Amino acid sequence: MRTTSADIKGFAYRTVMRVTELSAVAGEWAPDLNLMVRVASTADMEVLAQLAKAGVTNLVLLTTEPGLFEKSDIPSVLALAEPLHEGDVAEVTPSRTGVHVLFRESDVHHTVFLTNQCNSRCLMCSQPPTRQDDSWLADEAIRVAMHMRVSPRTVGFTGGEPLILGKRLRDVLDAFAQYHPTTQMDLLTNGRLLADSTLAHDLLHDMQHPIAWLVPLYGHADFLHDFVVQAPGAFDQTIEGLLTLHSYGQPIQLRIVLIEPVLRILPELCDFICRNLPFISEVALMGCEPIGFALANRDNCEVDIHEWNKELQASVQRLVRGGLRPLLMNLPLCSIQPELWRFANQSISDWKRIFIAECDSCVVKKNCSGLFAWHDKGWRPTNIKAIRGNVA
Amino acid sequence: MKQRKTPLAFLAAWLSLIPGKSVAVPADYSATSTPIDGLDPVQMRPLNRPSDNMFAAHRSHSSHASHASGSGGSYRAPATPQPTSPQRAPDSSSSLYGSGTSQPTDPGRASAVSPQPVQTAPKLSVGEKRKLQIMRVQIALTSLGLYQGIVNGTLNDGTKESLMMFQNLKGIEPNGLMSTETMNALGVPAVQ
Repeated sequence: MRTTSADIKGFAYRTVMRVTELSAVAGEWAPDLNLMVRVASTADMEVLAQLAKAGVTNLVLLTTEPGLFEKSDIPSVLALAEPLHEGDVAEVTPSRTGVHVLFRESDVHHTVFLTNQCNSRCLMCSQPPTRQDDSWLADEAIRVAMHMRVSPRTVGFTGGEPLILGKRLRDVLDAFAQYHPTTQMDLLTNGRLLADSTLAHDLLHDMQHPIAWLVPLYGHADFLHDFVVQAPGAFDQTIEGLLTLHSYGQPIQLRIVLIEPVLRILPELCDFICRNLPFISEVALMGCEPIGFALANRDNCEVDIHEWNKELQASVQRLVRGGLRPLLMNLPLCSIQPELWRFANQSISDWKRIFIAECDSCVVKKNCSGLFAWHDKGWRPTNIKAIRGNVA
Repeated sequence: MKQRKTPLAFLAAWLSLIPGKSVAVPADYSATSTPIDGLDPVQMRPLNRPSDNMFAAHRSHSSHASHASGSGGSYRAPATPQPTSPQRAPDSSSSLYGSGTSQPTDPGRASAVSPQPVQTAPKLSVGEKRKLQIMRVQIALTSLGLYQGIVNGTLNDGTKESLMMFQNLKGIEPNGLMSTETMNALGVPAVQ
């Protein structure tokens, strides 16, 4: 999430708005939308004031002129640094300075953060959960869906564990389906709560809009998976959740983060998936993000992928043989054998991906996932080495 | 202006899809399609077409006529001869997603480059749409300094007067109504 520094005044708690131009207000206005209107002159400001007097109360003044900000009688934002873009969906809250940009049209990856609570405590969690009630995030997500002017190709829902929202999650998904019927939705979840058939029914019955469910699985036996996610009973619940998703006809991608206890059993886990969960559409094998709990559990999480290439190759082979599509994510090409390159994805979102100096001379850099921007606080997936010579 | 195919042209286009009968069509077809390498000039599409504006001036009922007579049916050329079922496929599949289970994951579809503007959203009743459209017109008129009243979604005397003032300025027949021409001049998209 981006935060742009700004002064604000006159706002209610957590107001979600869309940035727009004065000339577009008449066309975009609707009673349930908040429009943040860019204003550069006193004349423009008077138009907004006149509209407010005429009963149009959902307009906000956005300016870069301190003078206008001072004089304005309506809720106002004085943008100090980075400019807001037209179509941005932004949020402000009274006690804090700054404007949070929750959605920007020019971004490639769009993420909707639904909760920071979780019922697992995975060894390598990149986003350590908190316990506070943050159910307001669901309301905010629905308001963001309303305020988005365009429908992006894909939106990813994440947490925390989104299923903790319960039935409210369905409201969020329905809101996006309603306002953005062409958008593909991905939902990252551990699937455990879907073992509850009542909740599963509430969430999944009569689902019109297709959703891709991204579910992690870390072992083919309960003690393996439960250890990695640090939650007893999680394996049984996740398996039941996967079967439930399948029974509702939902497409599933399994996600396996490659940390040491997982790599040790990876080929067997892949066999297990092929035999018992053949309805899975893809299996993503993912490099560990060196942040959050992964830093605290370095013993288990820090691996040199290069040393595990035999296991990785065997696992990919078993998945292919079993008819499942493997995807390699967050793994730079120099960390894996060339035979596996065709499965590699540029999976690291553009804003958190970097390359190092060594990569400049690499001939396959343009197809490479690169590194997480914060790898220098943790570790690299392997000793990064430029690929040279004539490779396809 | 919507380019409407006459039933006959539609029939011809239809027939051309059927391999066996395509021979019957070319004579007529070649007569109409003269441009060779040159491209026909493309008119800029107005903000609102007459058929977009549900609340056009009362006089111009021409736009309403299209809903009234259920042209949806005539558009689909009811007189088409029943082709064999495979031929139907391209026509019927063009309507939105099919069942809920089909997954539009095709990567070929519009990439992130040009996201489509959305005007979907909750279904409004005709009354609510009319009110919203009037409110947008009132906002536009207020922005122009032509309207000082309350933005309330009723086409009251003040709003009509302001509309007439605006129409006078733009050389549009001053009737105080939300005609399509007036909406376009105001730059307000019709609520649909």
